Amino acid sequence: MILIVDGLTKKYGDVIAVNNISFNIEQGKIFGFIGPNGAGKTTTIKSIAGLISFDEGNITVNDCNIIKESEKAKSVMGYIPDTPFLYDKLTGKEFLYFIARIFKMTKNHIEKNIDKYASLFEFEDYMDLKTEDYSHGMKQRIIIASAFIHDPKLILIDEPMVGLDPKIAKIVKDTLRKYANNGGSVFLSTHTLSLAEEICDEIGIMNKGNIVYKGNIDNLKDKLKKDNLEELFLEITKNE
Amino acid sequence: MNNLLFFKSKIIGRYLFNLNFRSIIRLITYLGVIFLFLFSTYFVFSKIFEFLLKYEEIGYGLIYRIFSMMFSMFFILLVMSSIISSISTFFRTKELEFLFATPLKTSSLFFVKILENGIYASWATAIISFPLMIALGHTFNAGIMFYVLSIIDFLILIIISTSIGLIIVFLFSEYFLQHSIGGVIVILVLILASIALMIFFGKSPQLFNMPQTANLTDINNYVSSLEVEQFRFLPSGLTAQIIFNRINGINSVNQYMTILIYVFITFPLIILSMFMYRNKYLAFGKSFIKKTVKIKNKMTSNRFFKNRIIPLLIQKDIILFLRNPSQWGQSLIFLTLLAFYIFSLIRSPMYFKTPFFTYIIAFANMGFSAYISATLSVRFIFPLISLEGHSYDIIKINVGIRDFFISKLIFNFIVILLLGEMLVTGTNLFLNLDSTIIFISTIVIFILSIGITIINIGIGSIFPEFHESNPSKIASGFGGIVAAILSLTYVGISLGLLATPIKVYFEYQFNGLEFNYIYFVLAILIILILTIIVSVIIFPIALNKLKKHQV
Ligand SMILES: Nc1ncnc2c1ncn2[C@@H]1O[C@H](COP(=O)(O)OP(=O)(O)OP(=O)(O)O)[C@@H](O)[C@H]1O
Ligand SMILES: [Mg+2]
Repeated sequence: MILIVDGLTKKYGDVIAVNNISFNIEQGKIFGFIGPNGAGKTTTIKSIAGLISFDEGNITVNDCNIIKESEKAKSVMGYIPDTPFLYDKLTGKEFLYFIARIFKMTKNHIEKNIDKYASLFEFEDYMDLKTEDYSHGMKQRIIIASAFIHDPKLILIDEPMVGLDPKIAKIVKDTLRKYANNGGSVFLSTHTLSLAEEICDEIGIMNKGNIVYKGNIDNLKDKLKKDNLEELFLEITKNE
Repeated sequence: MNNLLFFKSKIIGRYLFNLNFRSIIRLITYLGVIFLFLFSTYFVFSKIFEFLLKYEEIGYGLIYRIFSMMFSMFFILLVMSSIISSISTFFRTKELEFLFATPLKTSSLFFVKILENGIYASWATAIISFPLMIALGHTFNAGIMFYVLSIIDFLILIIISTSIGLIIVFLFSEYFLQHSIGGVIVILVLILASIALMIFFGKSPQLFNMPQTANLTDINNYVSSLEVEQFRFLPSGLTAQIIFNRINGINSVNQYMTILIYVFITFPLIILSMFMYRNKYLAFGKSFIKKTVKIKNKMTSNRFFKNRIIPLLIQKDIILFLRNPSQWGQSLIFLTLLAFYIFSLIRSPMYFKTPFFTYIIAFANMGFSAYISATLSVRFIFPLISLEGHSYDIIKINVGIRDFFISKLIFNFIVILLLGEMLVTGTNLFLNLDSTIIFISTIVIFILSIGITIINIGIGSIFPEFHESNPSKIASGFGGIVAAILSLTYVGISLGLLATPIKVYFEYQFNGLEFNYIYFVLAILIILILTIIVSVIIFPIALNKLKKHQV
């Protein structure tokens, strides 16, 4: 198990953002988190990334506890937040270099990976411009590449497809799939149901801080006798 | 080698050296303007010191008093700026979220941030204090070592003061980061505590009330009381004493020992903060909101200005101001400065009623008030346009830039005016100055508030940083320095215009002559014209720049 979340609870004052949830991700699998706005997806991802403290539960990444051995745990993760950050005075290439060097990669290795992702996500043309001159989608490509650049074992993505054009979105999907086939693991949150349906091995549907369904999409369809994921989603998350 | 530091310096380098022609020109102008400013500040201080030295008996004492009072102000400004800027440098940025998600050691993150914080918090003070020290050295013909050592002493003062601010933030972060009344209470308690400390430690000189009949012993007593350091145990007082000892060739072993004590106290606390940093950061969200309370709608329509855009924008600014503790926290800086300043005045033997001395006090008081207003505006008003970055598009489409710009001007003018008038009138009353001077000061501060607001909002619009959310970072950029220099120059020229009329006024008063008020009217008129010129130049440029700007 690359990721074990056990009994995670996070409160903001009297709001319970995440309520005692547990799940695991196996090596080589893509786990998709879907749920309405405010369900607690971002809170969960940030807890796993070691960015916020939580009230109860344990998170283990690659056998390291995220609180106690946070540097070790973080060194095998790549994280893409919902509102990403770039230094606007650095070029895209420098930014990738910066991240790679934080992860203590060698120069050759960095160059090799930058070339690989630059041609994969098609940003060779502009990676030597300052990122302040990029469009939204151009930034997003650099940021996605930055999560892959240090060959992590687990990638966390909050809303991966925002701002990407269909072609690059397809490439990102394929890359994630290929990455998982080669043994990497992905935890992603999304509102794009088709994305979840297409690439996730397993999904968790979250509502008001609880995981209301966890498992394989096909099983869910059988269980509720609906074959449209959208209807399923509305059915499960509707307010009682 | 610290990776993070390396890249950070690269980013800063990018700002400065962009190897194309335009930015080289820009850099050269930039350096030229800074140099000009440093030089003219030096020149003004030199002239003041030279002028004071002419009064043999009390000149030296007054120079010391002015110098040490300025240092006390610097100290408070440094501590308070450090408090404000470390809240945003250490807690509130997207960059931090990004860096904390990487396996970087918290200690190296902390180290880089502490450097950043030190620079943001101290540059505004440094550009005034370096010329001040150089002017002092020049006045007393000091050797080259004087300058080198004094600047080192000042750097130590900067390190100690900014560390104190940082430590306060770390120790009380729960209160500072909360949207609650707790923050105010903590700050007020800290202010009261520091005043109590000052009263406890400050050495009180005797007060004199000597009209023209003073004899030589009285004068001697008075002079020596001027040279007594009021805040001898504060880092600023220590540094001031060390610098003057150096001029007089006296050694400063005791003062250095005391400074060392400060280092021994602050250093472990900084290390402690470093260890607390990660947990403080992670818990930051939690302390942020204790209760999610439903808030009563304050954005409802206002009876007097129904459907008027500018009042609506001002209403929004007021609500945001009151709901954001780091905003009104800034006004608390002002209160602390005020307390400190008034305290300095209480402890100054100022009842020495000669025309010369009253003149110095009245004038210095107006100068301090204007200087404080100018410095605070750069820190707090200048970044406001940039901070509006996120909503800028909405405003542009729906409101019209002109209304937006005017609303910012009005709101900030009111804030600066209130603070400035409070300061100058309060201290004038306290100093027992006559009603003419109080009246003149009120008018001058009113006019200066207009100019200062226009300069800061205007330059803030000409050089906006819409992508930056950290106000101290915005104020430390190119535009911030331009705004600082312009404001201080503007204030300096205006005060210069008043210097002679006020002096003549006091001389006539004491000699029982009839003073012709036309001098005051003229000086104020010229200041008004200067203000109008500044506004007429800046307003359209700023407006145009804002209209053209795309986020
Ligand atoms: N810093 C915070 N302070 C207080 N409450 C917060 C904070 N961050 C999130 N919350 C609350 O936690 C709950 C979950 O928020 P979260 O951001 O995890 O939702 P999400 O599933 O990512 O939603 P979305 O789909 O809109 O991104 C919400 O009720 C939100 O109000
Ligand atoms: Mg979210």
